[in-house]
Amino acid sequence: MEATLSRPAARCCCLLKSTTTSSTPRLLPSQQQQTRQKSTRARHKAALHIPPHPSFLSNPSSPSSSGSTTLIFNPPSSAPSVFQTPFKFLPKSDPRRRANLPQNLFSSSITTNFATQPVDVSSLPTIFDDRSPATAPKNHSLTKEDVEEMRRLRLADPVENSVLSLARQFGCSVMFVMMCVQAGKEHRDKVHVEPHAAARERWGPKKREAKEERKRRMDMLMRGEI
Amino acid sequence: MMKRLRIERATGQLLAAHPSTTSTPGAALRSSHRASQVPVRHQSSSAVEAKSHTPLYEEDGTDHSRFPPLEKLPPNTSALPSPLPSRALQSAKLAALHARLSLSPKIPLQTLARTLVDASADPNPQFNNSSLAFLGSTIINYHASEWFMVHYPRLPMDVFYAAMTGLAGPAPLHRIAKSWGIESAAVPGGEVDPGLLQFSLEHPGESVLGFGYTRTVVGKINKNNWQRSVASKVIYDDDFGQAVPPPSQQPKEENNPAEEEESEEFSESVPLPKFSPTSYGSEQTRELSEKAHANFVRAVVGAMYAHCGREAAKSFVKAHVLSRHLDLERLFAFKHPTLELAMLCAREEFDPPVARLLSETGRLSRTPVFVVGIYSGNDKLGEGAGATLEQARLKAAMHALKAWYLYSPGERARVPSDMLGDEDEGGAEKKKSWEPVYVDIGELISR
Repeated sequence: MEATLSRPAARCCCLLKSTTTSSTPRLLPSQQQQTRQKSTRARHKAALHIPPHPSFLSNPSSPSSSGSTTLIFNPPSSAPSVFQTPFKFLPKSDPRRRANLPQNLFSSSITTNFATQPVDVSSLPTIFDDRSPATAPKNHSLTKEDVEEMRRLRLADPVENSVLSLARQFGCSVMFVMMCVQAGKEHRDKVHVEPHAAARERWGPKKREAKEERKRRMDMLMRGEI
Repeated sequence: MMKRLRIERATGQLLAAHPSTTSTPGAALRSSHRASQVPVRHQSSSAVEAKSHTPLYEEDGTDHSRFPPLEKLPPNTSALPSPLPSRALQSAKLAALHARLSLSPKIPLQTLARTLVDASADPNPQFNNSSLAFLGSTIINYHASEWFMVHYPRLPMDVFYAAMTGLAGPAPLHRIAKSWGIESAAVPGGEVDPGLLQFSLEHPGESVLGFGYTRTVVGKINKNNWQRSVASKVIYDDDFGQAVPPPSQQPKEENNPAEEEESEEFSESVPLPKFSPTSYGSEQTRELSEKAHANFVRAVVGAMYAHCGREAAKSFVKAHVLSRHLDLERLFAFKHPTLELAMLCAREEFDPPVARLLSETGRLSRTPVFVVGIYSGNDKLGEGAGATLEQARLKAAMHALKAWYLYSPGERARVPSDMLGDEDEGGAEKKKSWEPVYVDIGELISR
């Protein structure tokens, strides 16, 4: 407590406290305020003693440090700009492509340079493999008769012949099945609308609000606002 | 029952009426003989004359012994719809505007005064700014669209329309006019200062301001809020992708029966103000004001072109319109970004896109962050961070698509009108060094 009392402002507070009644609500924050003791001071100071980032330390072995100017490049982490066109997106006529500068300008588009370490792309884990067009089966040999058969099956029994089962049966992608045939409206209502409508009836106000907010967030995401 | 007012259709009454009235043909005649009779007021003589003459302004009912006019005006001035052109030489506001915009002395003050008269203030096209505004809008839109075509050749058409509206539409031109310090007259008339922008909130004017066809189903489109395809926008609509309104009809047809009865109680000479009398006006009045300000800016560009030539108009447009900042990235909105990116990669014969997890933190916490990159082969196309894997993947796909659409050959890419220099100023060499600009093969998906 002597460390607290040695500060003049704290002494004023204590004087006020002694003159007024202790139940004054104005003094409550000062009573609850945490004070740093002598025993913890060195520990806090040591915790705040952080060495600078390696990029700010000049390397004595490099010849540039002997001169007066040293370039320090340590940008803050931020989202990449859309105005930096990846090398693959440059048209053939672009001078940046003709100058053959991919390794200098577009290193980030070829390798991920976290901590300036080149990373093998194939070692990175993939996500949503099942939805990726890279892993979708590519059967480009479906004939017109196949498509007609697919349509007939789907319209005859949409429950048995789901989109996924038809895709497996014909060895094509789910998207291709959905492009070829759409189930009837009554089936869509039965599968997609009615069960959800029944569930929606049971939602309380909190859940309804949360669902609406989630939808709003998705719309904002698609507009690039978050 | 609320009903949307169709201000643009409310002008037919005026147009149908004015050949029979006496005031408007008088406006056509007033240019030559009255302008010559106007006495030029000198500072030394104005005070003496004001004392000696009897009041001349009884036609508007103002008691001029109590409210003396600020300026000695020629007789019957307030009967005119807009100020006489000769009064432009006496207006301090006009001279200040001319100097503030650093306009060339080739542009006379009378022309600058005409640019400030909107078609709603004076329906006579010989005295309002509609012809100059039409000329100016074509010049502004030409330079803006050319700039977008060269600098962002892969913009989708709907984003292109949004960018055109954001750079050269009525809203930015309104802001430009405001930044020039344009003040507007409360009510247009012959007695107002010619340096004020004159437009009417009660009689919206009729001026053709762009190319485009009126669709046959435009009424149904407006009524039912039908979607118009981008391809049909290119064919039918104006430079901003907006449907061209139909030529004005009788406004009585549009009104509700209740409104008609209400309006018949008043005499036909006093039209009803169709706006709420608040200090900021209603949505319609703000739109009319925005339109009038935008037409003024276009008219100034048109006057510049008419008096000073193409190069001066181009540099003026470049300095005042094209130099404004427009965040193109925020104009995009996607529906199925991953699908669109897959279609892009298929069209350009890239490897199909694969989403890969670059880094993550706090997967089991309340606020996780995932960083997902989209790869085509070994090349990273886009990167996004989100709170869920799905969100991060969508952001990465949108980032890659925006990077594709917002490809730019560089700030210093030349536009075709740069080659239009005068022949004696080395135009031949400039033409020799022209390289064709990059033109994209077309839209990725139909919208």
